[in-house]
Amino acid sequence: MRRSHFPVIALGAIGIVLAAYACISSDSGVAGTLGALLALLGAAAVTAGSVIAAFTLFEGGLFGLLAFLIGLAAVLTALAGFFLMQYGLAAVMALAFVGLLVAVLRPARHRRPI
Amino acid sequence: MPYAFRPLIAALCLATPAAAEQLRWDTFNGDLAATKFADVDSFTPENVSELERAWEVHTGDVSDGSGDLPETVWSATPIYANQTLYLGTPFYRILALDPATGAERWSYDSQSTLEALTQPALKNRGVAYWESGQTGPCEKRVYIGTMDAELHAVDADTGELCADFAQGGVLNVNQWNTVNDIFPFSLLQPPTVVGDTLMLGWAGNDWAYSVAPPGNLMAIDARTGALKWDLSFIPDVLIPVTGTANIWTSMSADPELGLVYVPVSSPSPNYWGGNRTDPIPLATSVTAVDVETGEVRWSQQIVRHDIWDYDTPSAATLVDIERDGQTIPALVQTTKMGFIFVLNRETGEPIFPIEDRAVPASDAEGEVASPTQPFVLTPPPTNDPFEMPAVWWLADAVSFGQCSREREQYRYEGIYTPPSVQGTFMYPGTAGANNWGGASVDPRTGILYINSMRIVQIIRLIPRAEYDQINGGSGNEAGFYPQEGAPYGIELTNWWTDLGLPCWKPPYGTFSAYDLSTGERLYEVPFGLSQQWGFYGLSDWGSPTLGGPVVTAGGVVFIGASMDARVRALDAATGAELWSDLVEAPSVAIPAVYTHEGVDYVVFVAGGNSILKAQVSDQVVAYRLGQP
Repeated sequence: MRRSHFPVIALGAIGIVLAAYACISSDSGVAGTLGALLALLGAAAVTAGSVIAAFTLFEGGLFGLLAFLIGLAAVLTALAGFFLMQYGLAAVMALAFVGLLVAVLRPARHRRPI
Repeated sequence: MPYAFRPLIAALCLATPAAAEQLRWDTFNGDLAATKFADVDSFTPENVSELERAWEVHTGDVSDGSGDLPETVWSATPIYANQTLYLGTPFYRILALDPATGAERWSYDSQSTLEALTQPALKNRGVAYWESGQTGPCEKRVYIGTMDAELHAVDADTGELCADFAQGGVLNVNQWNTVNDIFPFSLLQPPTVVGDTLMLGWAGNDWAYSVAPPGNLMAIDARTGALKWDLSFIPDVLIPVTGTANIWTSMSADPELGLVYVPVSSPSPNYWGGNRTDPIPLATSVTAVDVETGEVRWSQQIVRHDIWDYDTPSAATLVDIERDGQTIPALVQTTKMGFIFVLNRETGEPIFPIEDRAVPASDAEGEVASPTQPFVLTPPPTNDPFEMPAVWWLADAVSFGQCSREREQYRYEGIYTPPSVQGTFMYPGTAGANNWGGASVDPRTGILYINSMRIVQIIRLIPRAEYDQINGGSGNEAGFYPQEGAPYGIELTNWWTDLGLPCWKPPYGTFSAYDLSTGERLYEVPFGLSQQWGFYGLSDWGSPTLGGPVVTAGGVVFIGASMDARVRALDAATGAELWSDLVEAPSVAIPAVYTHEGVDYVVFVAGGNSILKAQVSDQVVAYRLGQP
């Protein structure tokens, strides 16, 4: 288990809630749009990727690829949030990206298998 | 209070300037001069950010087109008169609301057919109001037109039909649709009330036929519904081969001069004129008509031999301007082309020069495009008539050069490049630089305010045989229109990449102010936010707009119009945004400003319009300044 990924999971989950709100609330200005749906999928991808990263034994290149994809999803979702004027979502996804960097760059001794 | 002080107190009260009030907003454009000026000074650049929602209403009359009903398009200016707020809905109902709370006082259902008989949507631009000056039932009336061309007159206090109007309160306007009657009339724009006369035009089925009903202006007795006179805009000799040149938008009037100013649209078919090469001088014009007799006093054609559907889209704005030490009764006609015609409204003489300039010839079969067109370069046009916007590098990059290739592929030689088989860039697009919202003006300063859009479209003439194969012989699929009877159908599309990005450089919409005494543009700023798939554009990109501005005495402009479904307050001095609020759909109606029981309100209708984006609503929102 890599506990250092837990903050990213939590931020991803908050992102899902915010993106879901944007998708369905008429107050968001983007309800029912393709962009809001993409943002929801992006937040879900960040969360799911982080769960996989935290609870599996991926190492080396495979882990690197997974981390890259999570990071890419977080950045793109943050950008989507910005252009959807969902600034809370954009900020949460930016934090998730920072959290991912911290988790990945921490020394390996802090990573323990389950 | 000591008795001796009372006269002093009274004198002080009288010496205090009375707060400006807007006690009526009783036409589509606020007043008959179409100034869209509200004489309220309570809204200022300093305090307008404190606006709060006073009330909100959903009428229930909305359709996104996914069910049995066509989509709704709602551009109704609320009417404030008789201490009541009146609204027409796209289901052709009238609502009478309490102006302070939005509570419904009464409603009237015209029972109109809810089929798209002419236009592709259920459209409504509101109601008209008339009062006789006497008291009693039906001495104050509200009128609504319907999709099937009935004009209903109801009592403004009760919503009951006025039995003395036409047939039990309902006038069948389609009874006068007897020439080239291939489609019924639709009454989507409320009549313009001038004295005791209703000035009435109608909407038809655009882009479908070569031969169509000839457009006319009907003068209807407001009390009885009797036809006083009507005026056709197509010469009799040409009626067998063409039609329309109708009046589908609002009008303005100067009761002192006894003139109504009529924005006349283009003849049919809209994008090929080989059937009508003889002059039709009143088509695509602003024409001054005597209210009493229906005689044409003067007319200014703004497009000769219109083959771009550049209808005259809005009521001319009437204002007196100071120029060279003289006060001139002026008329300002905004246009789809972006030209701003400023004329003497008494004589029709131009106040700023109108230049005849050579324009490109047509290469279409049978077409004889006018060799010249009128250009107005002062005031500066809202859109460049000589050069369309350049290719946008971002769209070009993500489309791997699609935009650059198409820029070379299609014909463009300035604003009046004729439609062609090769394909022609049309800039401004068919919805125009400016549309039914027109402009607003502050009559105290002679400063004009106008929103405009910058859309590039591609129009392609399709030879009949090819069109019939593409289209199976039927029209109105997205982008394709038949122009039956002409040698060409058409395809009309926005110049977009395959991913839906505009190929041309932003901004897509602007807001400008002009000093009418000098013709100088005071500022031009991007306005609104564009939106695609939910993603907003940057503020520098602006937004296409439909609907118009209202300027207030306090120096604030209120406007919806943008595709991002926000209503805004702008600083009239700079165009800077001071306040905005998200509503449920683009507010493509002109807002209304009124003073009710001493409180100033601005009310927006958020109905949406598919020209901007597929988002509709039935929302009405009124705002007032927050309670101290």
